[in-house]
Amino acid sequence: MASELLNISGNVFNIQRFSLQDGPGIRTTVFMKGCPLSCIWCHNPEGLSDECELSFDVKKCIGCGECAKICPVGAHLMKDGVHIIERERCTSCMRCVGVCPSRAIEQAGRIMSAREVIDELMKDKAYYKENGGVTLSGGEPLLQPEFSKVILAESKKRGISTAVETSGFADKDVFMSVASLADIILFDLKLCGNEEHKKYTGVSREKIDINLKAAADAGIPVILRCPIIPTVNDNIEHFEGIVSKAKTVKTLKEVHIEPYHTVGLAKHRLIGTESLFETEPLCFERAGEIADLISKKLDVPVKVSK
Amino acid sequence: MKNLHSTEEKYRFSSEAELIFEETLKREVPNREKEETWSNTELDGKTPFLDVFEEMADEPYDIRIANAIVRSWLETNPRIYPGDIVLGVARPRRFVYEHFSWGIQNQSWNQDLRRHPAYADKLSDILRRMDKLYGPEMQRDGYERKLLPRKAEIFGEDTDTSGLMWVGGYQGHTVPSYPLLLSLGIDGAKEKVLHYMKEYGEDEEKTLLYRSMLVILDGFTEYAEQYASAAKKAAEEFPEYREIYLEAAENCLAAAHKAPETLGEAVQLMWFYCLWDWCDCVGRLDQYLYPFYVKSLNEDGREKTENYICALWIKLFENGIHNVTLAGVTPSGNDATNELTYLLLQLCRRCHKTHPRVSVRFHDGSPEELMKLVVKMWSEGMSDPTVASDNNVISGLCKYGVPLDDARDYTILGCQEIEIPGKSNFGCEDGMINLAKVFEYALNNGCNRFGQRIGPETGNFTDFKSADELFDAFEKQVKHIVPIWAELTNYGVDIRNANRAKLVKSIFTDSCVERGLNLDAGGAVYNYGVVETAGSAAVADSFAALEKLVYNEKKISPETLKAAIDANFEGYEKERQMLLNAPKFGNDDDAADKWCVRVLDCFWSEIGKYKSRRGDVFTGACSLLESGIEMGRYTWAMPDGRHAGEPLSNTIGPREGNDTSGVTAMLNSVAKLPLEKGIGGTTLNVLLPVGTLTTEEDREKVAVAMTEFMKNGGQLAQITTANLEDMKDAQVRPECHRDLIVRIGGFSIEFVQLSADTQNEVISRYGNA
Repeated sequence: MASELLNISGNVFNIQRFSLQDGPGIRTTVFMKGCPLSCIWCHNPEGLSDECELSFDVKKCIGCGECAKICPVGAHLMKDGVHIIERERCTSCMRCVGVCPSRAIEQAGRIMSAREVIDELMKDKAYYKENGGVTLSGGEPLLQPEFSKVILAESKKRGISTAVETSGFADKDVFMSVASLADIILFDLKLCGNEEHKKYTGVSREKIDINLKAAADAGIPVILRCPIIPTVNDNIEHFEGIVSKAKTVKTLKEVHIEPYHTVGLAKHRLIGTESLFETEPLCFERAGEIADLISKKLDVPVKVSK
Repeated sequence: MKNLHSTEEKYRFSSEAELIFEETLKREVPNREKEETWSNTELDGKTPFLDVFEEMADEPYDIRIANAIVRSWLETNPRIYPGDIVLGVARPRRFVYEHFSWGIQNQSWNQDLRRHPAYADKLSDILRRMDKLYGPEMQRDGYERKLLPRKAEIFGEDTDTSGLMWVGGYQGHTVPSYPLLLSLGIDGAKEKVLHYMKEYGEDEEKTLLYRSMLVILDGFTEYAEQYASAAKKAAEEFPEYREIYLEAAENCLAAAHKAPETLGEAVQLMWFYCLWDWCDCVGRLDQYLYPFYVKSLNEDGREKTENYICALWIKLFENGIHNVTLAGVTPSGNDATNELTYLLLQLCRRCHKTHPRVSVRFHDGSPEELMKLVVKMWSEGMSDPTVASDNNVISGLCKYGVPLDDARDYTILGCQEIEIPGKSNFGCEDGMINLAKVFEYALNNGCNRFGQRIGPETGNFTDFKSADELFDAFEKQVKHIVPIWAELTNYGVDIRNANRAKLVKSIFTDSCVERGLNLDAGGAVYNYGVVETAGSAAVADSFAALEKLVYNEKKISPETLKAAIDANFEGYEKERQMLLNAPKFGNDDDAADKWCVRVLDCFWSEIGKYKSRRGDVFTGACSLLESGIEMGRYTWAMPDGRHAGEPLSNTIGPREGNDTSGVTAMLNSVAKLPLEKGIGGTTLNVLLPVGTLTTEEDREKVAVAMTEFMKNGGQLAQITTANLEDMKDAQVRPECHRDLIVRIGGFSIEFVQLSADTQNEVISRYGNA
């Protein structure tokens, strides 16, 4: 690859090494910022917006007031000894991030070049072996297709196996241009019906289904990732839906049951957004039961993600 | 054929061996679960050392000590447990005893002994008799007469050097040559000693050593024969075990004299000798016993063979042997993993306790099943086995001048140390230096924080223009402290040498008999010294924080930084937060890692310029047990944002909680360190997130991570997998969690035995997992 191609930049909100849950082997997962869906249970809300955001953890704040001093619009206030951010004033200039000594204020999202990402991936090259490697996740990698393609192509060139974790929501040509560079796709299956899908995630399944079929037709191995959310899709109809969808995917390798957890709620608070949805986490026992149930009707392994 | 590699169900042994297991686990052995591994029989009120020293007052010291050692064993009544096929139990710790490490020990301070009913009416008499025992040979005398006064002379009587160093050390574990024992037998050893005694006929000192060795060997014969008689008697008393006891009696008789021919004779001889070696470490057990194991399989069948191996393991387990090493390469470089390796690992899997610690060596050609089984054992809640990298250790030993075949034969011993079995005395833990204190002196122009001068004037901190200038100052302080440490530590060597207690080890350590030198006099072939290294990560993190915030970004002025440190950050929380958030060692970030490399390279290179009195240079090590916490108590605030008194790392790894970039990043950071200069053994605790080892797939990933670590520069590692909830609950209800075992430094220990401080420290590590 021409080295100038690696200058392309994208918005990344986390790079996690030694990821054991995002595909085969030991992987480094690159979380890309921005998502076209708005699942009400979203566990990575800092991945929703495609722009860098201000993240504030009040627990880490020592009340030094450096942020207030530097803020050009007076968005940082101390009220009764409590540090409050008036987000409507904030222009995301991020000057406060640089002066916060305790990292209570951080920037969610960082503009990185593909080269920087590749350098990070290479640090764990020795651990990847044949099946481990890089997983692009998010957010939604398909929202940054050119950036994603460069990372995937360069990784393959360097002998790093590639995976893309995606909702599958994109135009088919965009989807295929990225997906064809992936050795495996972790394809979300959130809800099976168009109406429900639209109700809970904001988008309909039409494009998603087209892309799921396209991936299978192109012979790309697929893992279906099924978040199970109590009160939303923890029901037999949905499990049957998963089974019948799964049966249409010729290249299906595994099905993963992903039990709902509440980590997303705390993350919402950090970036100053609010979750309109809250329910009890799904316990591992129940997830195991669901996996067993589905497993009986499929020929592929059904696993519970931790 | 049973599958010894199986990671699935736990291995079932022959029905007889299973019965032995059940019996053993049921029986009450005093102190079995404590670290007091050398005293697991009850106190008996006897005073063999004192008796011998009084009775033989006219004999030379060497002869008295040899006889005292023998007497203390002969006066320990034989004990045979129901169905025992391998005989012998450890003896009690009495008021005076000899210890594999310290030599002759005075235990008059020991409150357990003082209060024990066995000694109640004799106490004042014993203490009076002990007073007479003091002489230049007694350790405390040497310590008080030589080491402490010299230390005061160097630093000044009132100068505060607390937390800087520990000297004179433990100088402990060595692995004697079990192959030599098994090939010579006791009679063969006597012949060898007699041969050299004749050769050096004129030399009085050597003759005395040989005479005392013969006293030991004759005593050993008598001891084994004593057990043979006891077993014969037991055979008559307990008809249901008649066959077993008669066979055990035969084995004991053989052990009294000859080189073993059968597995039964071999394990009995090994075990008796291991007892006399104070239950120290047995080295490469799967290698030493393999020929006997194969012969027994062919001649006597699997059941009998397993019974013997099982019975030996139970002895190692029950008497708290310190370390067993398995697999790796042979001296000729081939894979040494064999069937016995797996059998012993499966046994270890059945006896889940802190002793014996098990270490497994890995090289590029180690079978994958071996790592799989090790990871499976971790997943079952064991922190054993420790894994060791042949690549790193062998090339490190070679760089220090050990020939390749001997380097390939290395063993792990003690908590996490390295030696060449049967050929070396590395003086495990000759002493310790706390680099964080040395850093404090560099920060204060050679003084401690009270202004008392310790090292040379190396400049005012506020005048330094770069982290490199401060590093130069640090290096000069290191160069000042190291020779002082070496001198003081060598007094410790002298003290042990004067003790001349390591007769049992000396007989079976190569070149001691040949040269007529006791082990502590440098009788072994390799006599490196070992300095334990504390504070390396905190110092590295301090340099990294200073470089970034004071010198590069200039966000904190040198004056402010100095004031903040002096104030233990009181009133400087903003600065402390900035320092805490600077790059930290353990995240695969060269901004911090390079400093840890420099710090260790500087220190370990300097140490290597000085020689242990035993004969060879000092090398680095890091097996701190709880000393990181202890040293931390005496260490003031540092520029890494650490408050005064907080723990330092217990291992060569990052300070607890500082590695936030995942396991592979931490492993990469550690693999960058010059560990080949730390051939004394550098431990690393790898803390896996709770639940990482639950599926086969995940275990494979962990196996890959550990294998790659060892290929790429890592040396030793151990895994902790206990879970957070259990530990928190154990603080509230300790009685429910006696089986909860964690690793600290190089140590497997029951969580509930730890101090509240240490418990909290372990828990805080999990908070970041």
